Amino acid sequence: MKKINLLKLNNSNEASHMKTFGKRKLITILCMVIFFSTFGLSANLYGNDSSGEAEVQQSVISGTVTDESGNPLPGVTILVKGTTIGTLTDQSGKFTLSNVPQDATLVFSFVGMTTQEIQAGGRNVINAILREEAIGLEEVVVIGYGTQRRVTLTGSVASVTSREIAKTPTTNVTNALAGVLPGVITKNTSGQPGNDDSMILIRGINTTGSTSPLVVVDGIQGVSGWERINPNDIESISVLKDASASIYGARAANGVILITTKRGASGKPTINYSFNQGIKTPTRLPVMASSADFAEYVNQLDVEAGNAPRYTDEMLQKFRDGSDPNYINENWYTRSLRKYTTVEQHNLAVRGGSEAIKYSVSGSFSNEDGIFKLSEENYKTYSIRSNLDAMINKYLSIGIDLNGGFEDSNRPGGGTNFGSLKQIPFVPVFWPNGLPSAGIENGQNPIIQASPASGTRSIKEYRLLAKTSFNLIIPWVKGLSVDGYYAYNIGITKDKNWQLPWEVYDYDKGTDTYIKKLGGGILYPQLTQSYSDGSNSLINLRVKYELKTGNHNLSSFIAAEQSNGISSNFNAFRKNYISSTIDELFAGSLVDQFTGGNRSESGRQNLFGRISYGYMEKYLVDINARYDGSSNFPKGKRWGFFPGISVAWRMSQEDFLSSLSFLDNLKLRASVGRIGNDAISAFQNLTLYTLGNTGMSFGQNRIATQGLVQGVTPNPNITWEVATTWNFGVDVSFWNGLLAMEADVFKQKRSNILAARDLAVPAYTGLNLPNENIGSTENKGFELQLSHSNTVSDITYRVAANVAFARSKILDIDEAQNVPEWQKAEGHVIGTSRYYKAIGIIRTQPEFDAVVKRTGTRIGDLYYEDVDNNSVIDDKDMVRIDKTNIPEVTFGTNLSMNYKGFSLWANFAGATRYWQYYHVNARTAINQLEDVILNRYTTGSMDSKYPRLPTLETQTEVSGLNSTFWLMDASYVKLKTLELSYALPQTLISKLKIQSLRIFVNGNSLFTIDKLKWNDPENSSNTNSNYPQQKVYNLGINLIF
Amino acid sequence: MNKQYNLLKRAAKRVLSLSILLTLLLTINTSCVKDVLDKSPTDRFSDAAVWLDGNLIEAFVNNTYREVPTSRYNGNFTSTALIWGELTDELYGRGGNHNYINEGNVTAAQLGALDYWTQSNWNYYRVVTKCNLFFKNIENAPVEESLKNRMIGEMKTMRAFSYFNLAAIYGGVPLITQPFVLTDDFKVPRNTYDECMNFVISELDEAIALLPATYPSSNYGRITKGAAMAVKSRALLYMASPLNNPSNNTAKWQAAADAAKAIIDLNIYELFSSYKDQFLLANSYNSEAIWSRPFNISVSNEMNPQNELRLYPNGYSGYGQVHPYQTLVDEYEMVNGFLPKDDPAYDPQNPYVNRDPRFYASILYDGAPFKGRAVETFLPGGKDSREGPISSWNATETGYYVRKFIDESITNPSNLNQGNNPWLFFRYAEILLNYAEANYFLGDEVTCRQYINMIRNRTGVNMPPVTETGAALLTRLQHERQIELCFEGHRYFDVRRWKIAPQVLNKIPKRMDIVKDLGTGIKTYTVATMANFTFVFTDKNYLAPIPKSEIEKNSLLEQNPGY
Repeated sequence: MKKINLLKLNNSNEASHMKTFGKRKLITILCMVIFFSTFGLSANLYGNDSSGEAEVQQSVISGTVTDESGNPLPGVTILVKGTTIGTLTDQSGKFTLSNVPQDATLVFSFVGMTTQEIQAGGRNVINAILREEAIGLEEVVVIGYGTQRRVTLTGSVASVTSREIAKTPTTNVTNALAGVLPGVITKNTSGQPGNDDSMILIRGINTTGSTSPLVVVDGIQGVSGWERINPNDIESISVLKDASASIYGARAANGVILITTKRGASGKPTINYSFNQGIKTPTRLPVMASSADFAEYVNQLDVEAGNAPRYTDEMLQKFRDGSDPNYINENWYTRSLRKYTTVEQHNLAVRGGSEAIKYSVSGSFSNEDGIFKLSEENYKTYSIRSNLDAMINKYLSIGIDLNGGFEDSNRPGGGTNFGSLKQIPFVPVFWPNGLPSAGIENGQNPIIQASPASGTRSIKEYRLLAKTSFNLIIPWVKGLSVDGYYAYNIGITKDKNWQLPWEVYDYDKGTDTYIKKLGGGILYPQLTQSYSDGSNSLINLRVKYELKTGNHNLSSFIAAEQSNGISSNFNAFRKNYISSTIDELFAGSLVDQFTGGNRSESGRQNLFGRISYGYMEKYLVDINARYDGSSNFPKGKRWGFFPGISVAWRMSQEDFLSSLSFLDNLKLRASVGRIGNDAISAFQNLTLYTLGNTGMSFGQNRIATQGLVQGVTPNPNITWEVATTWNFGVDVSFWNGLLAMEADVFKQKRSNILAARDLAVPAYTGLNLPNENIGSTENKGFELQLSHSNTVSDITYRVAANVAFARSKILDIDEAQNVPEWQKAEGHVIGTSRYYKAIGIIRTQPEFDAVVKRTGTRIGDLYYEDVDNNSVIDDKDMVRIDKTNIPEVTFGTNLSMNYKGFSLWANFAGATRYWQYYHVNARTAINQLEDVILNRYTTGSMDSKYPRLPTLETQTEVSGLNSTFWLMDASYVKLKTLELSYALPQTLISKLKIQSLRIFVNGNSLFTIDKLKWNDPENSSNTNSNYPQQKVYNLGINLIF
Repeated sequence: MNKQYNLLKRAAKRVLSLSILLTLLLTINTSCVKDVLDKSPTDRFSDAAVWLDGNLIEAFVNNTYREVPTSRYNGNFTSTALIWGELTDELYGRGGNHNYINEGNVTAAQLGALDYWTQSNWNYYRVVTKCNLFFKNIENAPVEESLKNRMIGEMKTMRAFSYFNLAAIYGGVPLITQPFVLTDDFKVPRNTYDECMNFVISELDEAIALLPATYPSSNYGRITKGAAMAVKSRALLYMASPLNNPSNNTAKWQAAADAAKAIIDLNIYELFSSYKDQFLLANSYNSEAIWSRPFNISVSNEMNPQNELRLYPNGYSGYGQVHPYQTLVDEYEMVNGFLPKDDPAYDPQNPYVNRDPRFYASILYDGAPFKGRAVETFLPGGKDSREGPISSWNATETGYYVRKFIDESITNPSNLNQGNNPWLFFRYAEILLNYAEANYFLGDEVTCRQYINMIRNRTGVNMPPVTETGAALLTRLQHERQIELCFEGHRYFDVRRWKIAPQVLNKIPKRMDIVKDLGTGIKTYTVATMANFTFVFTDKNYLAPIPKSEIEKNSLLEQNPGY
């Protein structure tokens, strides 16, 4: 980070530099500047060394720099105004500056903070407090293979720093991104520990093929397990949304997420320890119908089937008042699930270093528990991250990074069965004598399934990444340097699933006996074990050239990268264990066991480069290009060229605007680029056959034979999906950050879309369709971010609001042509479905006689629009509706406020133009939401909210057809994060030899505002069977020694 | 001069350094192109490897076997157990999953359980595709002649069986015999029923010539000569039937008779000693079984029939998924050969005594001994009724459950714990009935009666012989087929090809309500109608609609009339 400030220092003091240093030194500095900005090797002390050589000694000033919360800020640049005298704060925020003229003005600057000027006025101790900048012009933003100051940025890049990320109490990085990155859509659909990744989309959906963005961690693409990087180790996250992603070529069409981890800084070592303890509770649980209400519904079904109603009024009353223990009204959700579970996290980091060697070593541990009451489900993560930077000499520096991670997940052998929590309420979870009930059928009692009685599934994931990097300045050519890295990572997953038959009981009222039943579908224990490993190596080598003369600033590089991946797995199964005491393979039966295993390889190779040119930091242009080769494609279709260009004009630097003193910055940006998407399975150009356990068991003794299955029909022409993106943006900032705005409009056109042609190819062809380059789509939208920050007496605050809109459109898709115009996908949003247009509920006979209705309609059913006007409601009346469960509009509001030691952070995130389809049904064997059961149509009802309820899982009943009636508006606003913290005053803690002590309470997903209230609106399940999303209340401390 | 020289020197240096570095870069980049980008699959076999290796080709054939649909649950059509039975007057599927089909409301957009065309499992075109790929490659495969011939015979039979079934369900379908490639024009019209069936017969003739009559026991379950002949027998019978032979061309009946007789003359098959037990795992390859499809859920991850789980009554921890109608129960004769309605000795308040032994082998009724106790479908409180203690919502809605096919030794049935009973595509009893039917239509009533009576006289059944003539004999013949082959997937097609579906299927099916007086223990039996739906059969229902999605993709496909 600090190297960027040096760049600024160099830029603004060009003349004096030329005097002070030799030309060669300048070359070195420039090279290193670029080098640092690329890799973050913080070996910039060389420049500092030099700055101490000159000038006349006058006085010494020292002090501490902190942020608003009182946290010491390491790496702040302190410069004597108008000179080259400067230094940086150490890890504890302290600095000492010699040779300062008595009347000097000190300039304190730091990335993302408002630069502050303080008159020395003869003082020897000056403490400074820096506050966060609205949209930090000097903020350094990580871009692909490099960094840029936001002020000279030409592309559309959203970024968030460690400060915001670490405030969200989550152990999963994907859950910390909602609301803080304009244009990034996240959706969390599960709260299961270890399995709670949010889906991430950048600028909506751009293709009918794969929509996953590329994730790059410290220069390494597609690292698995990035979701589990300890948020405290993350320095920043940037998102490349436009042509700036072209530098990642064939994998970047869905956008790129760049994660940069923290590195050491010179200074005495600081030890940073934080601990937090959280409690989690579901954001929302479905409220199911009570026994009495459900029994009335069952009676209705009985009567309709010509049977006597099975519950008398007396029985209904007993259900209602709970006076008879035989008339149970069970709430399966609250009886089976814990009110809250815990999550804890420990983080310890040691960072520091000398001018020659800097280090950052951190370790973390987290532990989360599962939600079922008897469950021993838990999820632990352990990680260690060590980043080392060394200066060998003034030309050569190296870096060594080692990261290790271990995720230890213990789940019940019987799984977490949330679908079965919709059991009918007459059945208890436990009988009065304490025996567990057998649930609906098959012994599926979710609480027992989730307990150790059903066995255990242990998933252990080990990851190791080693990376060495170097940077070499070519001393005899000004501006030339070479750098590169080699990274190797290994991931191993061990999955051991030990399943036991569990015991549950039915109760026979007639004989007052409990009937034992085995659950789990098996009679004896069984074990499935698998071991899979993958490794990937990456070589990157780069030549950089940098030139700065007068007002011209040029930096460029050309680089090559090559990666090679291999993965394999091995699995084995044994059953019919005669004893359940040892859960190892040897103890299983020798009969009916099986083993399996395979291996696959992949490779990539590419050449890429960039030229950045700036004139007086006023006219800026970046040209990126990548020539990418992937083993996913056949020879001749393998290489793709992906260029991108972006330009910016800082109008505020022009003379005609410089007189406007309230205008800090006004910048116009524009970009256009070509990016690729190759996220498909390999070898689709070949006819391949899979051999496996897919034959028949022929013979008297039924000996299993192997079966051979043909794969996809070969597509010899398969190649890249190509995206062309356009972006236009405006950045403006007034009154020194009091008000700032960033706005972008974009358009992406995706062509050669990789998708299977299943919409057009008849099933009788029997083709197992490969991906083909078919169709094109378009996606347009905008992002707007406004921020305001100010200081009012002791209170500093910042409010930022962002909104993003993206709407896709299928321009061309190979779809069936013999369909009515109103059902075609072309011209519509990606991912839409066809629905009947529900008009209303038929409530009376005259109404029944009057409307056009579908065959089988009864009074109480929905009726639909006769779209083709043929007086018949059939599938031709289905209409494609542009409503999907990917939000078109997402927004966030972030508020931070500081008062003395107190600070507050709040992040609201939400989505609208967002719908979820629910297939509602209830019959004698399955309960439904109270809202649905109570408000269903019953005979004579003139105002029921819902029609006659469908009874089947399939969509064959008139009211259960895919219709707009059940397509619900799922718009919501959530308080994603709230944090209140207090930093103990320095005066107090300095006595304890502590540099900083901060106490905080925070929370995640604390409340939700939505219309439907059936479940968490981020849900994507139309049947309420997901692991409930969790809210977290958290208490923690952060200690710095 | 000097300055210029220095500039030149510096420029040269720069160019030199840059070029060295770029060369280095390019070298790295190009030197390993081959290694890095030229991967070959290590988890799958290539086309070239497969069709040169007899073992791999055999594995391909083995896999094709498992794709041939049975009438059992397959994961596609949920809440089913014996799919074809549920689409007739045999079985009610709990919850009424197929009501809309039975009510005549099946549409091209929603075929439900009639979709054997586009579904991912139980799809005849998937079988056809595998066979087509096989035939494209087998010709030149260096495989031992006897193995090659056997595999050709097996695959030809499976493909013919698939087209036979497609034609029976939909009428003529596109007759595809070559694998498609991506660049093909996929739009092909339907072939006629006769074109499809002529192909079926000629393919079967070729297969019959290639296949062995028997296998060593290690290969039991493979298609034999007899199995191919059995497919041919059923195919020719369907072709000769009134639905497909409106002019009653007797040559067609003669062909059907000959095909059945050819199997009889093989002298390999005979009726098994137990009507009930022939469907059990232990008897997978009994003397009556002609094409027996094994299941081995212990080791195979294939679609799982969950036979016992789905058929057991709720009181035995089953799903009790399908329920025989009273309408079917009424068709089981008294042991004296009369139908209950025609037998004055029949007591409607004691309905389950003295019935055809096949009734007790096929149906679980109130009082039937099963797994150590009597089945209780009575109210109040019957263990297998909707007031039973176990999963009462899984209780029968007709008063009956299915007994046929069940391995009674299974306790705690589940998707893994099941009897692994085979599915009998063809058994000898059918062939005898096919022969009887063909002879009836050829005018040889003596032979017709003789063969029906072979069935009625089978060990353990011993029903009195049929003596009727003329139209009455045809009714007895049809009735015998209904009883002997019930739930085996015949009824749907039989009532259509005989063109009796309008009479048989246009009625309100019945159920049995049994109320027990808890004081006296006396049960009252009341036959009631199923109130929530009515069977409706109109002419369009002779054939199922062609799936809408297929017609959308191919405008040349003509829809069946009425849809």
